[in-house]
Amino acid sequence: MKYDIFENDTYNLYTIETDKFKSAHMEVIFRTPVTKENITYLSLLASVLMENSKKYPTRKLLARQLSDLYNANIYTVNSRVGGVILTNFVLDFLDPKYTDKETLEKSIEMLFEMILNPNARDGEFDEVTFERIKRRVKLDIDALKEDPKQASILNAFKELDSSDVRSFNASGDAEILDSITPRKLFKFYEDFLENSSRDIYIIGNLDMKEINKISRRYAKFLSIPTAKANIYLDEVNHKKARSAVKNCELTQTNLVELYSLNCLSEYEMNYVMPLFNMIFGSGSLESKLYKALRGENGLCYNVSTFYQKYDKVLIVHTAIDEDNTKLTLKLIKDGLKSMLKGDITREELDNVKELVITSLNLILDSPDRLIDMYLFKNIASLPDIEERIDEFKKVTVRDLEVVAKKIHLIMTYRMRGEQ
Amino acid sequence: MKKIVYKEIEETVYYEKLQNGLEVYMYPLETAKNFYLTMNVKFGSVDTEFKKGNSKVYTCVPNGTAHFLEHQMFQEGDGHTAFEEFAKMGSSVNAFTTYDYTCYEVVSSNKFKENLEYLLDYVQNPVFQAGSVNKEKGIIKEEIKMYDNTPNAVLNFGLEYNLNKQDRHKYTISGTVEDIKEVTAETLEKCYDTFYTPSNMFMVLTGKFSPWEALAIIKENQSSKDFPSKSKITKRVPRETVEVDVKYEEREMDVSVPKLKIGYKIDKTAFKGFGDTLLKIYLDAILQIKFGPTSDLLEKLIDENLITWDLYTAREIRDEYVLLTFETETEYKEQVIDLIRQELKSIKVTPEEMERVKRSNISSFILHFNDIIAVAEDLEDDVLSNGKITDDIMETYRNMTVTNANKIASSIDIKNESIFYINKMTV
Repeated sequence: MKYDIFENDTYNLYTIETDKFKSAHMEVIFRTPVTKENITYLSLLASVLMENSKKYPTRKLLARQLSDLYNANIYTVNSRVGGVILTNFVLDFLDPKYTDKETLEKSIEMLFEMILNPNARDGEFDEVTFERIKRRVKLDIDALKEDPKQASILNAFKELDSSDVRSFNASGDAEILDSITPRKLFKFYEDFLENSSRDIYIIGNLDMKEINKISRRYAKFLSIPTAKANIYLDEVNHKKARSAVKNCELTQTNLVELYSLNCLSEYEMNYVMPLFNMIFGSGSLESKLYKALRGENGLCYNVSTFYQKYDKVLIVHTAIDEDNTKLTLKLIKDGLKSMLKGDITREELDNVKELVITSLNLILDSPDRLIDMYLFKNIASLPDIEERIDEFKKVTVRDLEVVAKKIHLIMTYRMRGEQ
Repeated sequence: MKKIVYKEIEETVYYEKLQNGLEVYMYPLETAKNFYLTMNVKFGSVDTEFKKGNSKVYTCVPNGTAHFLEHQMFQEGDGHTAFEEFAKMGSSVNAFTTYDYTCYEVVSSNKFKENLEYLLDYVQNPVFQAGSVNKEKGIIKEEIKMYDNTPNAVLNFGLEYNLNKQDRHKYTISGTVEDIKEVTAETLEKCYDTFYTPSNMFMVLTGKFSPWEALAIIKENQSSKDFPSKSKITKRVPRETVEVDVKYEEREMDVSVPKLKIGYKIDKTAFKGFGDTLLKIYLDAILQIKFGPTSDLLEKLIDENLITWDLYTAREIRDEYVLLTFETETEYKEQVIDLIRQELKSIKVTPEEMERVKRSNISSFILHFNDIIAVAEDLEDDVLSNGKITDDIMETYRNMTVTNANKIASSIDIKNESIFYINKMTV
């Protein structure tokens, strides 16, 4: 795999040349600071831009053109990573060796057509498209309740501090959405194009110099971006753990525990904490919590822990019978206590190291994950896979004990199901 | 070892049938970093009545037994589990059960030999202890409750229940909480002895490995084990009529938009002259052309705000009938149902649409070779549906005709319809 950077005036093109895949994968990635407004506006904007364009004003025409380009796929993903919203405009297309050179250029042209030539006139988006997408985003916001796991986790953060970005619904806020008009959204779009940091990433069996030439023809970004955002959020500081309960109409109780991670070094964040998380609850069906809750006591189908590095939190989630709440909480507490005491065998640590190596190797077989890795190398100084593997190998049980002392319970939340 | 080469794209699958009947399909990919190994057992949730060899008596087991057995297979006795061994190798291991088969899967990037051997060993050395079976009931109960709380699962299983009168697709894969109460260690052992025999299983290996080395490992492993002599498995499959059991059902759940799923059962004999593979390809094409993103109907549904986002279509070819399903989110169910019915009654595929769908099929097929898991799933599907690898699929796509598409489309009969609707909760 050959990595390269083409520095252009208003963006960089990051390339990975490889014949590993039968497709090429391109992403135009914007970075915007997180606010409730930005999440909501971007949620709406990304969908409006992907729905149609000036040249293809209906979804059907757009779909037919993509289909004619050997089923090229264009889509967008908004995600919050710590203090940054990543907006990825993605293009997947077949390796030109199966098609022709013309299809390659037309596919790339199409991606930029979608981003830069929207279905808009006189400073506002097409009203019909806008209203349709707005309605859909509104429903997406409301659909959170259909995902008890996600809903209970966000509710837990909301109980803690509803102004904290960790508690924001990824689809946006209903009230803010209501206030958006086609004109306001267009104004936001212009600002977004001008100020949000943006770069282009591409992977495939392609002549990258040629790709840079094609990109320069269509990626007409006129300004040098000014918006800056810190990817790491501040630590959550709550001295005393809190708890909250909400009733719901489900048959299971969704139980969430939130832990703050305080004063972790870069080494601890990158290497120790991921291994801690895997041993505690996320690594495999052999984690401490999985064994205790499911294996030994048959309390749940699934228990997971999530280490949110850029949010500086650890989350525990499980769904149980309400009657088993007390026992479940005790077992989670015992699990963490044993981690604190360093009750971790050499074998447990070696196993999760092997597991982390496997998961890093899996990146190498996936075009979009390779692009992700390249992105995080650029925006969060994440080292290469080989270096990360070497560092993971160095982590000791003592390192895990030290990190355990920096983990503090801040919230126990229960979305209580019917008994 | 037989080499099967996919025509036009020169991708090779290696195949061998072992003396004990175990079939092995391998797609080695030199450029991959990882490998994906699956052991598949032709035992699914619909197989609840069966006999082995010359036995005259059929064994009946509760719904959900195949899924229960899949859970139980990870128990290795004395509190140990197969997860432990795979964890030591840094491998990711899982399993799933469908209506038709059970799949045990491992993905990793190192210790190929150890992973392969252990996959064979844990699936072929079961431990059934009453204590662990009872404990597993608690876990499965929570899994069932999780599905009960998921609107999409309620929609899918609810429609299947109403579509079928006798066919066992009527029942959920995991069974109900009541069903699994009846499962015992003896039930599981009986199922294991019947279905988990090498001649009723097949392996699919994809990714980075040598097929010769893999085959040598499998052969050595299998030759060191004793298996009962091969005997025929007879499944009692209830005859299903083409009529649906329940035409309409509505339930309330806490959803943001009501969910609608419609199913049509069509007598398979209506498509006489088309084998299952060809029928699948044409039905997929028709659904894509007339109900997919490039269709006039979807544009109308979205433009008129009749649905929120998409219309998902699917087809199933079952023993006695073909099933077409349509799923969407809508507040206007009558209009949506009516438009789908109208479209189904008047399908006419044009040459332009056919060319577009051919191009799209060819591209999708090639792209599956990008991903070692996607290609394994394709192989499993091919083996289960056709009993072999369809190596001339590209040619089949290129040879699709408008005449055939329209002939199949004209045989789609919509009189056997079932509708399942999940409405918002009334306050």
